[in-house]
Amino acid sequence: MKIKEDLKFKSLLIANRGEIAIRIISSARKLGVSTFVLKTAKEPKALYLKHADRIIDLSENNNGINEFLDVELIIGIAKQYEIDAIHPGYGFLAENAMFAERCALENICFIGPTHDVIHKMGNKTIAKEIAIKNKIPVVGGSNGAVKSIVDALQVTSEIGFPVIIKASSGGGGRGMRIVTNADEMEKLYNLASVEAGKAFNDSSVFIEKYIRNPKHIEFQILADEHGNVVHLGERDCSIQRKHQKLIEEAPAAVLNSSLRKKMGDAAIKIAKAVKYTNAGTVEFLLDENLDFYFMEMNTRIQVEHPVTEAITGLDLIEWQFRIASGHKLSFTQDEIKLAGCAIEFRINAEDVESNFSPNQGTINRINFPNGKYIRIDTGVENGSVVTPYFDSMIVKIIVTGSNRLKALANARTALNKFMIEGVKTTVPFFKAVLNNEKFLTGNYNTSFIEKEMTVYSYKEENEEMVAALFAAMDFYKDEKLENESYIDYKKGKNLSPWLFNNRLK
Amino acid sequence: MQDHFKRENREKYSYIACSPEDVRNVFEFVFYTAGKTEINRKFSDIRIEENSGGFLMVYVNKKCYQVEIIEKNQNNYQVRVNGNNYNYSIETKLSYKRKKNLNRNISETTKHNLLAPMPGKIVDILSSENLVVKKGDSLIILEAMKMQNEILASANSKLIKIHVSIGDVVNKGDLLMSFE
Repeated sequence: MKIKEDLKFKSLLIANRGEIAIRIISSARKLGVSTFVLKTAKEPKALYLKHADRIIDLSENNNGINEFLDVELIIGIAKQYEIDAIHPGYGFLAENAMFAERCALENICFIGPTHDVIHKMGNKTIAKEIAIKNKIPVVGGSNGAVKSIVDALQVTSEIGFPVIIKASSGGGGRGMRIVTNADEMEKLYNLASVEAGKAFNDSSVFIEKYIRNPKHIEFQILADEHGNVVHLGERDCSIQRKHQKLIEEAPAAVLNSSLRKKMGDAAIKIAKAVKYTNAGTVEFLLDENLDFYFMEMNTRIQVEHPVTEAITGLDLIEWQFRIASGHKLSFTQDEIKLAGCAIEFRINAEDVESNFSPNQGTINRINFPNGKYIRIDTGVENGSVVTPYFDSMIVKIIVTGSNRLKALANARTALNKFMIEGVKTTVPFFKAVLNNEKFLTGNYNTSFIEKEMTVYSYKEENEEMVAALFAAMDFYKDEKLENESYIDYKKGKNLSPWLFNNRLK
Repeated sequence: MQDHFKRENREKYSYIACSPEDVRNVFEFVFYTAGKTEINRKFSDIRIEENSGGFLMVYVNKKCYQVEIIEKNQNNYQVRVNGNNYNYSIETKLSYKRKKNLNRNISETTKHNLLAPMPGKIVDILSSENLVVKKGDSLIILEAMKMQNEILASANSKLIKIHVSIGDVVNKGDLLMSFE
């Protein structure tokens, strides 16, 4: 059955690739919208191309700009093919206010908030000011660089210890120092400043309240063009490595309904304050005393949106389309019921044992678990190539359960049934997480990977021996084949050891 | 050695799988041409099957493992089991003995090299020549797939030579640093 709705647009250009392009196409198709995708020379056989109604071939494009980041190229294509709307997905141009503005100028429907809102929320200082104005707690700090130790102590006397000194142009942990009392300030301020100067050629630092072991809790919101805003509950995204989320779950095990309401109301308040429209996410830090602080707002659909879909039963991409077409939300906050628990695992082509470094290659074979409690959002299939050009996430496995315990059990089954040949993935890491007591209690925070995990990779008993055995068997096979006269050498080269083994018996 | 390869219609083949990191970490296998297998001198129940999806599965004592050969260079293997990689060289009794002796002579002062684990661009070098590094220290930031990857020291050792500079583009396996 094709449910067709009265949308503002009949055709949609997806300015993205991978699993999210496929995800967007599936909702577009349900609502009767025809889809266009971009084919690049970097991934000429990518799976998302097979799902779209039309492929625009940019294989010959070589102006040096990544196709998915090239505003004028994408706008030009939309105009040339008379495409009504553009969905940016996540990453790339999703939070580029200039791109949204160009769409508006060309009368192309941008699936997302207005460029003005993207601009405001994209600027951390402005976003923080908006939160403060609306009495939403934020992480206190110097709001810009501090000029001296005296300044630093002045700021600290307002927000209290511990504080963290961060390099203004920094990142990656360098130029960062945690200060727990006034005596340490001079020494650590100088250290941070010198380190920042060396690392980033800019010795200026700023000061922020240091939140010990916070949880990363974010609220999904939907806002229509008629002033209605609802939240769809939270997601706990505290399993992160270097600020890259790896596992997300909904709801968060530590939130009770009154805290959920408090934080949800705060999220709605911020959205209303900027006249937000479409889908968005308000991110908070939650400290050990369950005090929360506004961090930032993401003005796009997020990678982890499926866990919210799982517990609300809503299709968020469909709602993005409806909202962009001027429809009103058909439900109120009270009508939204959160049911069960959902956990998402980001299957990245990464070598967990070498610091999660990207693992490129051809996926010779891939097998997805299936069942009532499992949703697979994939960007790859048998034969897909993991290239160095894009991020390493290839598949998302989303498992559900009527409660967290059942979802965890389903997750174990699902991960055991997931099989892949050709690239290393984060699956052994997820199995290790699922074996960690702290994770199982739900009481974990963003320092989990660093502090609670001693091994990053789950190993089955006797794995080493099996590896040695299989190598020895392969060697034996080769040696034996050399010794045997009846062997067909053409075939023998590709003979798999199990076939060989059977022949022996 | 010669004899080992030439003799036909043998009844059994014996091998020692040995870890390149630690020659004392070994497994002994005996494969009987009639079909039985000994692991560390005990007969074991082993089955290899291709499952319906085409994946190779090894069953050992009723436990099941997904296996895949990642690299094979003469007798040196990298095998992936359930998503984890393992390195082994397959030796005969004789070649193993030789290897062990060789290893004893080199001892711990041997030079070792840090190779690029993936293709990418060197964006930062965090150590310098003649410094003593500790296991886990950051040595190099290698940018690949738009991600900054820290390359860490795998052991306590002295950095004697840096073979790359910031901005260099390297291929997988390129020599980055030498230690002793």
